[in-house]
Amino acid sequence: MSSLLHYSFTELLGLISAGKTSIKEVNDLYLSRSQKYNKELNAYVTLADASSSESLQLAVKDNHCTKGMRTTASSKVLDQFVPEYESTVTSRLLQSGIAPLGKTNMDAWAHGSSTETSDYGPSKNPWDITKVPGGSSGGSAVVVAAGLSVAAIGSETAGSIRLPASWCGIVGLKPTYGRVSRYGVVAMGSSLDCPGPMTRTVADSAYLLQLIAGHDPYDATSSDSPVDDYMSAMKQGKKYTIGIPHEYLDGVPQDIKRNLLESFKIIESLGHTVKYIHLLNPTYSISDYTIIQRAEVSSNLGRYDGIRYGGGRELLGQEAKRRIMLGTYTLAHGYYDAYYKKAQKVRTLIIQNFADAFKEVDLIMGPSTPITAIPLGESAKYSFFGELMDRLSEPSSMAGLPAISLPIGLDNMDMPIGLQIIGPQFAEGMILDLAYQYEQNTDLFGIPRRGVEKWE
Amino acid sequence: MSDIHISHLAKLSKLTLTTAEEELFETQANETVDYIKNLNDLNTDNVLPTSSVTGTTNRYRGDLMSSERRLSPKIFKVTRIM
Repeated sequence: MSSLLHYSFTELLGLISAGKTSIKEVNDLYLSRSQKYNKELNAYVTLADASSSESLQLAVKDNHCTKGMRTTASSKVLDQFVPEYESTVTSRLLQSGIAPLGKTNMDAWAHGSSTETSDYGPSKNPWDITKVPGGSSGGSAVVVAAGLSVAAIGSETAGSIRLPASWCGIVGLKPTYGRVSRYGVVAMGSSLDCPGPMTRTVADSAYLLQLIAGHDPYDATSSDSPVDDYMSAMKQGKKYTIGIPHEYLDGVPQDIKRNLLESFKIIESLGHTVKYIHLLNPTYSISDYTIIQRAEVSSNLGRYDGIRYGGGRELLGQEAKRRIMLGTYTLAHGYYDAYYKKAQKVRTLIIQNFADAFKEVDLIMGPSTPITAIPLGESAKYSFFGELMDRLSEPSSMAGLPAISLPIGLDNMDMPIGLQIIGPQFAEGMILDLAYQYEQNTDLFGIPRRGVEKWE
Repeated sequence: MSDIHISHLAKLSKLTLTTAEEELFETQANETVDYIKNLNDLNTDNVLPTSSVTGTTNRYRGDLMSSERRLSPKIFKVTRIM
């Protein structure tokens, strides 16, 4: 039943409960497709041995610990690491009857925005296999876009869900920091890391977020604020005032800009108020993010000493080494105040900047990324690749804000373009409401479906 | 140019680098540090640093054993000595 392929995750759950298909049939379809196309797309580091007849299987980014299933974070340091415990995200999924279909490829340790820093080779963009899918959750974006998994779990520090979702033409939701537990997720930037759903529809993101969100006693930074009912919040149909930061449109190529302006018009035609606003120049967030994230990386990767996890530090790749040393530098005695502490203060300014904006508008929108997917190998030409590509995600990530990326069209090369909607902390419900209204009106231009059709 | 000594940072980070890597990383680290100095454009004189974006403060729990998180004794490869 290959037509099963075009049902969304929530639709499949309906079909299963109505007895029109079975968990086994869905799993067989996706496992066989994953086996068939993984050679070409390199989206998984590890695939499940067999399809389950009890639990629906979804792909999970390989930085989530899965008991009994190898977890590498795409680094050879963890090549043989089989966790003894389950991450809270995958544990909550298991409790809801969802098991891992496989562990998806990513930039090693989530350091990067293309999957090219993976020690298992880059994943390929399903829209054009000569291009990168974006990263770091590149493998998760690929499996959803090409129909190797009906939905997936990714994670974002700054851009790692939004950028690959945008470049692969799917929906990616980065929740508020602390909304989803980080317990059992291989730590990168602990004040920023955030697991989240990557799906083909807005409803699927809302549904999956519901399953994984909430306070966790094992993550002291997880929030105990009440979790909304996202499926209801999504259907509120409220009218919002939405700000478009001038600074986010600077330097965006004409074909992308044209699609964005068209989307702004669609949103206005749905009865929302759209206005241009000013935010801090994103170049400050690039620097702020670079300092804070590198500092946290140098601390978090200190534990890989070859004793507890098998592989030693000689197995760390170049990107990890670069980041560890820069973090060590900015935290060193004599430089701490000039860099790390300064960055923490600038972080306060970024938070205030958004707080001021949210006095005027309910939500903020703009491009998810400055450009669309680039050819494999081209990232080496940029000395600051990840930071440049993620510059429209870094400000909101520094402020811990939630955001969603939606496909809104194709550029001149037929590659997907993403629009992001950013909200105040814990306003995932509002973001989903606007995203759902946009989706109902545009069907996301059939882009998620067209991605899957390329791999039928 | 910044005053970065990669060999010293590598030692502090317990990393072994090749000569080629040392040269490459030193150039790149200097470029990065020159870039991030743009934060000095922003006045932060009376600004408090942020370490928690959601304002969570210290969380405490009872110091109790939890069988849920007890690791299997099978993961230890050496015999127990005490």
